[in-house]
Amino acid sequence: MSLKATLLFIVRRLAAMAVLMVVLSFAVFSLVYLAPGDAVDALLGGKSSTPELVASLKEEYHLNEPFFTQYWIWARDALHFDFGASTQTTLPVTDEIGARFGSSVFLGVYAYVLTLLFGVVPGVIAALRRRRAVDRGLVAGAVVTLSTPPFVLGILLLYLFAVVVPVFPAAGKGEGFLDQLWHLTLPAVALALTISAFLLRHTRASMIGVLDQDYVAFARARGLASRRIMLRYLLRNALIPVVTVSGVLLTYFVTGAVLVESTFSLGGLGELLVQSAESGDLPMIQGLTLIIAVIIISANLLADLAYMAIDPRIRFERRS
Amino acid sequence: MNDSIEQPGAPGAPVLSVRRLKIGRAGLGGAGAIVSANEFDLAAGESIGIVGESGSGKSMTAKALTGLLPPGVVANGVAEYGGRNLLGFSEREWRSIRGSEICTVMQDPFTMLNPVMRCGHILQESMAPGRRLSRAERRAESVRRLAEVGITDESVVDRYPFQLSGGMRQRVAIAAALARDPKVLIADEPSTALDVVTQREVLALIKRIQQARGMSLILITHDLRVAFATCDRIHVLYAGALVEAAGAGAMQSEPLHPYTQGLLLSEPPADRRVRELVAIPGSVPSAGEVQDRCPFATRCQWVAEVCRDGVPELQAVADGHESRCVRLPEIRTEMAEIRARAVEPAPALPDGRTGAALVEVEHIEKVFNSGSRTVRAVDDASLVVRDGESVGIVGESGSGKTTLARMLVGLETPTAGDIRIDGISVRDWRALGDQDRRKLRKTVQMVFQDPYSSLNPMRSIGWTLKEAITTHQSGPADIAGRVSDLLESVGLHREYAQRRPSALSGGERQRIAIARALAAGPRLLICDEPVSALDMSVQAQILNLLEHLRTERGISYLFITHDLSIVRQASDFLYVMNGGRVVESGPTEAVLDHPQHAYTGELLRSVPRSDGNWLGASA
Amino acid sequence: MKSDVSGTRGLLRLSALAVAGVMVLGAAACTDNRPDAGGRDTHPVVKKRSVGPGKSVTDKQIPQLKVGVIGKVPTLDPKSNIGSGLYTNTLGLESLLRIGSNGRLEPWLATGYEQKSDKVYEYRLRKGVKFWDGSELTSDDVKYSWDHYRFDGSTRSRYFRNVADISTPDTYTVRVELKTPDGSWKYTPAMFWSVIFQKKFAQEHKKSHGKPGTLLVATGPWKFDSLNPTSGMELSANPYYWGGKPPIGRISVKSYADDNSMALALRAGEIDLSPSIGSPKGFNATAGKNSVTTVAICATTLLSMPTKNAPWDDVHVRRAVAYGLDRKNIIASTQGRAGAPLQMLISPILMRPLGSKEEVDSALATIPVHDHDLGKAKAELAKSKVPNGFSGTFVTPQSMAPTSEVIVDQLKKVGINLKLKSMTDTTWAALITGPADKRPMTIAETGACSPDPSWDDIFLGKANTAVGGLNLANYTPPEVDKLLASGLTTNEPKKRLQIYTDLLRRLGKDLPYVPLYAEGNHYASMKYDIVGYDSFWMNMPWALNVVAK
Repeated sequence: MSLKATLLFIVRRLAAMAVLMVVLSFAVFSLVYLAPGDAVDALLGGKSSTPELVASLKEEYHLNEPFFTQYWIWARDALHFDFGASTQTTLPVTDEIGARFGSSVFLGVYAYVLTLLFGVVPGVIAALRRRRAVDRGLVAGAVVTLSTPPFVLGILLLYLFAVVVPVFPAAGKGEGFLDQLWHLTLPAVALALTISAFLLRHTRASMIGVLDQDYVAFARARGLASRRIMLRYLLRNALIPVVTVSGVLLTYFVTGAVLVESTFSLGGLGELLVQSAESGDLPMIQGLTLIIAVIIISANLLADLAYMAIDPRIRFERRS
Repeated sequence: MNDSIEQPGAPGAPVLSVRRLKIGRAGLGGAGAIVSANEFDLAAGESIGIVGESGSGKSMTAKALTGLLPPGVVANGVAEYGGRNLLGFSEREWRSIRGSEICTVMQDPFTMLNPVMRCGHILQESMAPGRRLSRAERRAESVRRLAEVGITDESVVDRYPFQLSGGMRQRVAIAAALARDPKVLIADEPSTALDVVTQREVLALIKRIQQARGMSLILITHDLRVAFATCDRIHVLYAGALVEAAGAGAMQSEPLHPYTQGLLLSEPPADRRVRELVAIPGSVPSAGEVQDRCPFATRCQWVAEVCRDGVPELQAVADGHESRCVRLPEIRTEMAEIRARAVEPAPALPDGRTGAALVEVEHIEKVFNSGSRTVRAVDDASLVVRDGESVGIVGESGSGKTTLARMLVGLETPTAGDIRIDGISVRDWRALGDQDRRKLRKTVQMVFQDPYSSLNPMRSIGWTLKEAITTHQSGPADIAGRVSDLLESVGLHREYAQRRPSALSGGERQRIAIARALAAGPRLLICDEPVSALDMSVQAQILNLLEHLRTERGISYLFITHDLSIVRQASDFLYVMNGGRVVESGPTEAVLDHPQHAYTGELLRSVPRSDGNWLGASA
Repeated sequence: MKSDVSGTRGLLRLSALAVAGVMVLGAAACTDNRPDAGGRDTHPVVKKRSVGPGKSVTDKQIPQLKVGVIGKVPTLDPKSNIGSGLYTNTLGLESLLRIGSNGRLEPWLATGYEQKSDKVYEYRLRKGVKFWDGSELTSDDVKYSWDHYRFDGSTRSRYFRNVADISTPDTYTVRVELKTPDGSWKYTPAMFWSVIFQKKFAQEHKKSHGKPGTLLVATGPWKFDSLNPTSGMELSANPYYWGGKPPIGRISVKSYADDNSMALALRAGEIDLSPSIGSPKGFNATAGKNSVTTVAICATTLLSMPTKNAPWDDVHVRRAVAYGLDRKNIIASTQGRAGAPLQMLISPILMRPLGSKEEVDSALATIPVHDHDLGKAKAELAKSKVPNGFSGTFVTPQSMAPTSEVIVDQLKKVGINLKLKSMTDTTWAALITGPADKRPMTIAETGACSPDPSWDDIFLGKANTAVGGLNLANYTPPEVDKLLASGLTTNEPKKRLQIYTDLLRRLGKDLPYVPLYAEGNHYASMKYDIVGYDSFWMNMPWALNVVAK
């Protein structure tokens, strides 16, 4: 596919994303609007208050305006990345999300990279040593890991590597690249292990499928170097199905790590989402929903582009 | 190149010499045998054919000669190439052989090329490493290589395999296999997955290149006629053992092993209709089952005690002609008589079509929409099937013949046109009343190509047949009796009712599929490539069975196939389809003897014939 | 009873204070030096606190103290929801007075105060108190801070709603005039919700005051250097501190999501001390034995029964419940949160200041107790309208579900079959403060207390049956209302001892609530103790009292 067609594809997807965001923002805003209680209740959290306080809060959150005006005010601010102030902490939603976004994405990408490392490499080895001791060992290990929830792994890792052999910190997320890398290693490993066990099996099956392909045998028959066969034939084809799940994985790692975030006291987006949902922090829920939607759509767009890049069949099917 | 490999010597001396080749699954002993006794010599510039049915070990032999046996399978014996025994090679040593000395082309062009690489890239990576070429030079070299295999369209270099037709892909694969100019090319069923027309083109191409380069060729095929047309010498493999080896001409005129003869006779001849095909009973055993006897003993009509007393030696029976049959001297005359009888033509069919029209298809059309593309699968096709008549539809893949059949049984709804079966309009099966539908289901039954997937593996054969009987008939008295009758009518013992599909051979399964179709008491049986998935020696059994059932029960057949030889044997009236249209129709004999349409002519020329002219005609 | 930071068990403990908004009249005229424990766990370090205002209890310098808290600190601005800042704000932000070990008010930023009339209080500021930018604290700063809490959407306005005017007659004098006479005001200048910050800095940063990046300026021994709402904060010694050089050079505060991760961090040496934890038993199990010190406080955990709904309206039923409960097992189920068993609604800690040990002991001896006695429980039930037992529903907040299950189990033996209905703390809070006749049988951990016996008024009286009030039992005898009122209108300790003893006797007879246990405060450390760790520890810069173990 030509560059132009690729760009057109991206532009179309981005346009669809914009439409989706508008629909989603409206939906989120309406749902929250329809939910019982309003921002003032959430702000006061059941505490006693004075009528003046209620009035001033109502004014601040535009609660006296009609629905569409409220939505319009909110949407206009949201366009400038201003989602209002959290009713829970009174800090701007943008700041609250911003304070967590970086490390959540760092953790997500880190965990994703580790997942590939822990999933693809043993998966390939298992497939190459199919039905031998190494393969059986790896697959058995994967089953055990798969049945262990990430936060349990997290506690185990914490105990082993922060308490017994204190090489990693027990909590916190660090600042700066290296410090973050050091702080987020255990959480990323905890997050990655379970998923990489799944990926190991996925890769193994995919790799075995490719190993049995005629084109691999034909490549060997032509005397191609084994390194080349490994990279261009086996990995390239075996990783296509792995790449297709990347979008989902990445999204999960960035936004779905709430239990691990809690185990390691990371204060990430997942925890923020759970907390704001628990306390009915409407501006936060709205802002987070949109941010998470952006993350999901972007991650999937990236995965699709990667998919298109490595599998020409997709590119040409799209065009026809 | 590896210095230790001597360059093959003088002309006539074997390049590759295979002796006492045994291939088997490690650790299973005799029971794991795949090839028990194979040997041959391959001279420079010579082409030999290794012919055998599934399970004969022919493909494993090819794999053993390039060191590509699957894990757990080991080869023993000697395969001497350039003074060294290939079978003892390490993976590293193999790499100096593969591609540059011996290369393989495989059967399926659709899976043989890396789907994520452009064809030019595939060619370039296949070329000998070491030579540093610029981008432009490499491209030019690719274009030249493609031209050698008959692809003159330069843009193919930039295309991906999935953008090419099967024939083009096979050509690209051949070019890739030849990229390092090997001395020996092993072609493993290189044309089997292709349409008849393309099949001939690809074989002709291989033959032409082999001769032009003076390369040695090992052609592996199940089709004796293809081997005769392509190769100098033929080696027939049966259940892992070489049973006969001879020059192509000698073997063709006088096969000297009962199996070779049986195989030759079970292939329906393309040029004439015979009274009855000579079928070999039973099915191919595995090499492991026949370790201690003549491998063909279980199916041979001349079997005697001596045949079961150890594996017979391969003996020279004529100049350059070897056979493993111990009883050959006694039965040679009898074999010749059978050959003579088999070529007797069948009595001519009565001219003209009689009987009432059972199926009338009028100006039918089927258009598929996939995305923005519109495919006209069937385009204004009309045909008639009369009571008791066998009608053939012949065409290549994509001709629309299968779609037509699916419309007849209501699996697809035509876009335009009409279908009447037994007077009922069945253009849209969904619009039919219950009674009509039941009646039609009884009237028309179908036998599919793949007998493996059309039977429920969880159910016994008896259960499957019982279900078929009760579906079409409420409460017949003696169901068990009817199941036995059905089994016997397709030539199987009644105790098959107890078995499950997994315990049956392909031919037996197809018999069950036919029995199931017969359970409804149909008036029309639609057979969609009913024998193309079966071994040659079994094909004849099924074709004979179908013919037998037709005479016995007066059922009409609609025979859908790509194989002209089969329609000649199995049908009275023929429709030739191409690109969704019926291009020619008429009594089968007349159409095949005097084709009117150019396409029919091309199809006829493509049917494998034993003589070398078949390939030479135009490549 | 919604917490300031929801979702975190440990912080629920402070919620009742915030909900109540009721402060008390009456003197803390007690000279008794006993620790304010309910009888158990009188850790030696709790006893001694005899240093002057602004001084540290130790001469030993600690270069850095690493503190862990559960939950996050979103902002420092006391008028906002400061989350876990409740534990750390007073390290930098000080109040005018402090509450002494027995509820007596002691000087801090103010050297003293004078009650000019029943509505006017005057505070004399200490001279030479410097903010951490070196400028001096003046009465303007106090007025500005308190006005900040009074107006403008402050979540603390309720503590100041009876204030009519705050004026500054001179640089070192602050004058507060109340709308109506109100004994509860007395404690306000000593509580964490009246801490003082610099007016100048606040005015310069109106929008971002106290927020991460801007922070604020105050007088405390440690100044806030940085605040990260997702991970914690850094503090360093205030070089201008009026009490002399603070004993700790730097304080790093780290936020943890839960007890478990904080316990592991303590064990790994990432933190030295946590001033407040949620579940002592679990914490000890993870962090290592004896890291937790528990002190029983004046907050009380109650089982409440709807006294106007059948069958709970029958006093025999309520007595059957009281006898049926085995406090030992109930306390065991709290995972160490409970401080000591409790037989009366008002904590004895709050009663102690009302008289000498003998006087108070003999008064408390007259209050009916209901120790676990299955025989008596069954006898009471037999006397009731439901002699053969009954079934009912028992609503519990999720955080107390394990304890509630124990109670259900115990009452089953009496013949009362309760169906446990567990709900999120938020839903539960809405239900129990809803219409009085809909309030269910439930259990409530109050979490905090003020220094006066009138604290427990929040659970009593007609007024608290209104929506938002905490009269969970819907218990409204007019005599009780009268007792509540008279307890607030006198300052005479003897009279008040009589009044509150009468109240407790009445409650022991009617049993709208069965007091279960005195709650505990818990800090955890392997290395340090917090001297003077009592019911009111977080109203002052508690790190001044940190000593090595």
